[in-house]
Amino acid sequence: MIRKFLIIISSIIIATTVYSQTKDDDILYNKLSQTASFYTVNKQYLNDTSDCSSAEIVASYLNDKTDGDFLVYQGKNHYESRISGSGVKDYGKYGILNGKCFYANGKDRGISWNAMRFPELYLPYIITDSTGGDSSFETYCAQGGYAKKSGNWHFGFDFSFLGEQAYRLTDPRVLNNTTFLTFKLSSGKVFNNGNALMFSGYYMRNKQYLHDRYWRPGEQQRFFVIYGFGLYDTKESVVAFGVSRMYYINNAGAEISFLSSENKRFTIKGILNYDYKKMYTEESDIMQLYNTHTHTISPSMSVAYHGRGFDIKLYSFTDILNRKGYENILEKYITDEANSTYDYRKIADEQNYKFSNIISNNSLRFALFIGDNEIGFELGAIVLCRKETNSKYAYKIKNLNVTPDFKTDFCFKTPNHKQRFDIGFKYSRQISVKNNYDVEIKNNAIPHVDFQTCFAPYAYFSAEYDAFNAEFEYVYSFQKFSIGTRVNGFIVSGNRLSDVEYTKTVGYDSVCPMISKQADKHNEKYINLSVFVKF
Amino acid sequence: MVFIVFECASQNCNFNIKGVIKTEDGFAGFATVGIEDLNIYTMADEGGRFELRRIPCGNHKLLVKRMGLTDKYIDINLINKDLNLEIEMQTATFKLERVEVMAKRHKADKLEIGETAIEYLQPVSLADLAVLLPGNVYSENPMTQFNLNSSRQVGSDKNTSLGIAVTSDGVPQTSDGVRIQMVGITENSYSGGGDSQIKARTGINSGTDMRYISTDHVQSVEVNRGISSSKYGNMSAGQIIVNSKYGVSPLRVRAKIDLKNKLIYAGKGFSLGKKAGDLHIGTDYLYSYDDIREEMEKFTRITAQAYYNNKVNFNSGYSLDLDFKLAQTISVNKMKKDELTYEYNETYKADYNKTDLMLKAKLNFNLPWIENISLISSLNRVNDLIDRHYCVITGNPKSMPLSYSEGENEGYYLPTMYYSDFYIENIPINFYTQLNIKSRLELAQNLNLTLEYGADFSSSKNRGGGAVIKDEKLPPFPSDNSYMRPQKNYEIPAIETGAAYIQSSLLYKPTENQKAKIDFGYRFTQMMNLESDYALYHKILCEPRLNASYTIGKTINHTVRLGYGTENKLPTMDYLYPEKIYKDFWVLNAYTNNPENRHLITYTKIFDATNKDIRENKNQKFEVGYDLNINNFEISLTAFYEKSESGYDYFKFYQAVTYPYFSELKPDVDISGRRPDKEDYVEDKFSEFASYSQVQNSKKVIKRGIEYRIISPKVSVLETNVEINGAYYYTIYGSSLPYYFYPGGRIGNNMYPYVGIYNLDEKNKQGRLNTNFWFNTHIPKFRMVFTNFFQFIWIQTKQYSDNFEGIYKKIPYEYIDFENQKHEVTPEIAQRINDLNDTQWSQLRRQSTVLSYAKETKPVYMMWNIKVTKEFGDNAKLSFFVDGILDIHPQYASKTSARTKREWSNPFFGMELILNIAKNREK
Repeated sequence: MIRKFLIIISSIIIATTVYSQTKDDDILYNKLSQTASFYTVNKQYLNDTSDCSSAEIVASYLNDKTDGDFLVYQGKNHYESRISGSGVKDYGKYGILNGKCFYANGKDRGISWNAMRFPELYLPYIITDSTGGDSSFETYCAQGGYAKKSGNWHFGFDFSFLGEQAYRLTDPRVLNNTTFLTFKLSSGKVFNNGNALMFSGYYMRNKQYLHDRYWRPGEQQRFFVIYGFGLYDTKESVVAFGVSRMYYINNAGAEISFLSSENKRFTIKGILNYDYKKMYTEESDIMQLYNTHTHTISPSMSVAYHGRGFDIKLYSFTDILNRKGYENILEKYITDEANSTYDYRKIADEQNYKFSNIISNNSLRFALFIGDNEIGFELGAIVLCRKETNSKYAYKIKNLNVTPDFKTDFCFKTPNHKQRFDIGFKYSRQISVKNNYDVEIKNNAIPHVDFQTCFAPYAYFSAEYDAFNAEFEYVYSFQKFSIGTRVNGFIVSGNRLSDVEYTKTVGYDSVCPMISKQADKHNEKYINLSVFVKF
Repeated sequence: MVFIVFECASQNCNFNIKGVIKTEDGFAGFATVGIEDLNIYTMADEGGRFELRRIPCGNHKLLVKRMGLTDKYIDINLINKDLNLEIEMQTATFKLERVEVMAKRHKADKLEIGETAIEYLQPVSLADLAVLLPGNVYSENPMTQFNLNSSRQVGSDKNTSLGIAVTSDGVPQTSDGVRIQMVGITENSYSGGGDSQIKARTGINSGTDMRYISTDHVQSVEVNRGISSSKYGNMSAGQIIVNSKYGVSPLRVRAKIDLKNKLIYAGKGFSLGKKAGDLHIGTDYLYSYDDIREEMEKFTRITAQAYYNNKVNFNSGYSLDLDFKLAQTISVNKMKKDELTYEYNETYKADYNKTDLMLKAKLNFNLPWIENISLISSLNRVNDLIDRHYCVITGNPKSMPLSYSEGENEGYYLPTMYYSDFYIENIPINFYTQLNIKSRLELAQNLNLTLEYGADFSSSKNRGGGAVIKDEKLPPFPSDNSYMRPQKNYEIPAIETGAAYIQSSLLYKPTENQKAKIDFGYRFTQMMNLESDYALYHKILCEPRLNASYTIGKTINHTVRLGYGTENKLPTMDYLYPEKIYKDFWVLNAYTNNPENRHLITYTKIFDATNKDIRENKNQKFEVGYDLNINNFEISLTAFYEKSESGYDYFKFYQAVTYPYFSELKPDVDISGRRPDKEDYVEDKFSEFASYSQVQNSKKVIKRGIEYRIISPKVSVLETNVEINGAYYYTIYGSSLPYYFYPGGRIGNNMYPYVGIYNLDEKNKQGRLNTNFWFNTHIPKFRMVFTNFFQFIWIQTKQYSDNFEGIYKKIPYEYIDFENQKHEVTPEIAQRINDLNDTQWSQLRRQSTVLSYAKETKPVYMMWNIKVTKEFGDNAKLSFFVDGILDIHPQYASKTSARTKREWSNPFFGMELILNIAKNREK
């Protein structure tokens, strides 16, 4: 499920990577291609004067299914079908145009205690009914960029839009309209010594409208306005026919990247990214109850040595995210005495909630080239540290996991270069190093929902499992185009730690799909199949 | 006198223009060639050859257009000999320097939305094109329900919607023959409640349902919100002229998906062989929903159209243009599977099937006294069936009579829960024919007169069964004891209208830099087939219409425009022939648990809702305008005033009814264990007021405002065309009849005895000032068009007012008593009404709060829509659009609710792919 989220977010923020992702592509290099100016920088950097125009049409299907513990706000099963088209058109001195668009539809099954889409962006301030269910969705995305060279400088402009409509066809029926609009400016310079430096800055605006309402006449239920650790606004969490809410995120970031000359045996590539998000909520009566400020720093680096017939690369990518949540204090005042009409105004706010999430992915890769073929071995580890606190009630949750992995891959091309096979296997094991759950709701006058909204995500991350990942790609080239297929899948098998169980009584009994109180299995299966045509 | 004129005409300087029109692929057969100023048009033959005869000497602008090709304007100078032209036209692609994606002013009084603009807008129905018109604001136009059409106003109203005429290939599209008379659905039954599904989907008495008009078969659309030509009638608010696609074209496939619509279209134009003409066929399928969660509200539409055209040249020099169209529209909306539909076991089926035949023949003589004669005939049949299996749940046993006569009748009690099966069938068969004659005379040098005159006849006969409740003992909407005994629609006489018109167009060009034009017309209309007691019987309605303009200047071009006209909308079949309302009152109501011992006697009062004094809805229009053109930089201003005080409205009247009443048992009478009868009770009389609705010419709509449009030439640095348009509209909605109020309730054992009549003169006043900024960036090198649309609503106000504004305490000027007598409210009674201690009279005092008269003013709001279209070769176009990609809706303090508010809006987005399966011309 984490993978699903990363896929979605990457398609929002990241501009088109037109070429198929093969294992010998430098991951950092691909990340750089998120900006339009990359294409013109790249041509000069690689001293490539040829027309880089290309296009690709891809049809894909993915399915991700869990068994046992799952992230309740994301659901138990996600599947989608997608068709996408992308292309780069090189207009020579007029610049380079790139674009991509896709349409996808699918379903998330078994969502629980969350009526939002992309909940990670808004946590802990989500809104929910206590029924849950399946959410169907359709997604539209368009991205475009234009870049032009001026001397040794390169300038680019990118635009992307992703919009999703999600809905539930059982009561209470949820409708989510979510959009992400991104603008990005980028520039780069290739120095005489072959090194390149690139800068980019972006702004993203997100809006999510949520409408959750009963279709069945006369039916009412409690809708929870949650603010973390199982806490919810008791006044706003009303028993009603339905609720609606608007979420807004203003997001800005900047990135600097460096590429050393490709002509040397020893190369260094590095990216430093800073990202800031401000999220705020708005209720249907225009009260703004909550907001968050999220800062993310993402340093990434790749050091490589290109020997005769072999490569050695050391990668390191890290994301450090810190979020603070603010709860507004509002005052009710009379606006019209004759009609007993009242309104609200904000008088203060308080900051209690904090969340930090650090993911660091480090690996060492050795690749051997035999003719046109390549065999690679990779050894690495992912470190995940997530921590949530509420200073007002002294609540704290922490998970620290380490996932060492080993990967091998193989690329084979037929002598006439008409066919290419890529095969890769990866094994990893998540080890829980440290976990801590310190949440005790003391107010017994209200139903407790900490198990559903707080313990459940904690339990998901408090697991140890083995994961096996396999990738396969086959491409057949014709004179003017090539066709191919790609398969990517993984299987996760493990268990929640035996001491991670909920020993209290679960409050607010509901029909939502839910994890068990006691330790349970932690299994997941994922497959992504695609066929493509490249021009 | 006429001969003198013709003689003069023959002596003036006239020459012919001949030519051939070519494309990259050969000849542009059946292209339209014309001179707009002179209103002269002809159609080229299949070989692209054309001839315009008797063109006055001087400079003219020749327009050539054909489907799939870019419109071409050619300046010609006709001095002393015939012209022979060879015209090259280009396929409309984005690699050309000029791409027209906006509406353009056409014939000075109309806005024309061309083929490229329609394609670029990606509409699913005709309603989507309105965003291009100055003053209109963006809206999503949900397809699951009928949407009122509006014209030059803030908001919308049924009379304007009814009064907008949609003309397709010269044939008015009418829904006047539709009649739905059923309690719970039609407006002359009680308001509120009823069948919301049917009410939302059927636009009865509201004009053309734009959802059924697919734009995929349309080549161009002309919109005239000002004063129309007298050639067209039976409208009051404006005109939309739809021109179908015709001629040869490559196979074109269009697929569109967005948050509410999934549409696919395929169409192709064929040549049927030498001299056999062209045939263009196309079909589209649309699946639409407004709220994807609502399984009940889905709309499916399938349309198909075949359009044949040909030109036959005779040796005599005459020619015949022939057009034939066969169109089919099908909409099937059945209730879909949903957990609630299963639970209530209801069904809703709506089948709509329209077959449209059109034949147009134009015989071109090219003689001074008769340029051409054209005949248009159309026959269409609509099968519209709504079939309902409806669950009725009543809180308590309702009484139900089955009488067809006034007076006492035996009744029975309805179950508290039952299913009612009913259907509403409308099968209007519409026939229309129009004969037009056109004469063109050159009265003097530089003075040309074009005369069009003719007559038309239209008929709408409904062959449907109307509203049919399968079991009359189980009515679907029994809530207020109102019933109808619906007459079959096929028993209702056809609506027939005959009209004659004359339209003259006088053009005077004293110099190359001056032009004066006067279009004056008169239309005479008579409704036929009416009974002699209708006020419209044998009534000839006259509609004068005038448009005049004066243009001066060459590089700086000024035009002043003036228009005045009257337009009449005639009543529909539903308005002319409403059903009687049967109101039932309990005479004896003895309900017991044992059904055998129950006894219900009702008193039935029949109210005739027919208003035989009903007249046409007359709308008077006045407008002035000014246009400035400086090297393709255009400014256009139009100020208008429209007044309609005779709009149709179902108005609620009250009438006192006194009937026998048996409620109190006689002393010593025991009715236990048996069925009671009237003899067991003390006979009494009971009086109460009953309400019923009757259509009246009472709705007032006053519209005024200024529309503006600024068009800049292409800013070459940015490759961008800029258009700024908008309007200030101020609209007043009101009623010309007094307001009736009945407090209801009882005083002691009797009903409240008075109905108050108030001289309120209620008005809902709405104002709006908007500006739409269109930035169309067209980069031929990239074969790409990028549109940024910014909509600003600067002012948006709404205010209710009446004659009691500032007083807040409304008292009647008259009242009705149980004798149905009207009495004047004397000062003494007024004093009693104002006295709150007077429990009887004070109930007639209506009190308003300050808030209800407050002026609601919304803050400035902005909306940004974008659209990107990229063309791949000559064969494919891919578009992506987002409406409301960003919006600014500030918070504001509402004066009518005394609360902070903000309007939320959601982006609306989708994409479209167009494939032209043809030879790729890209080099």
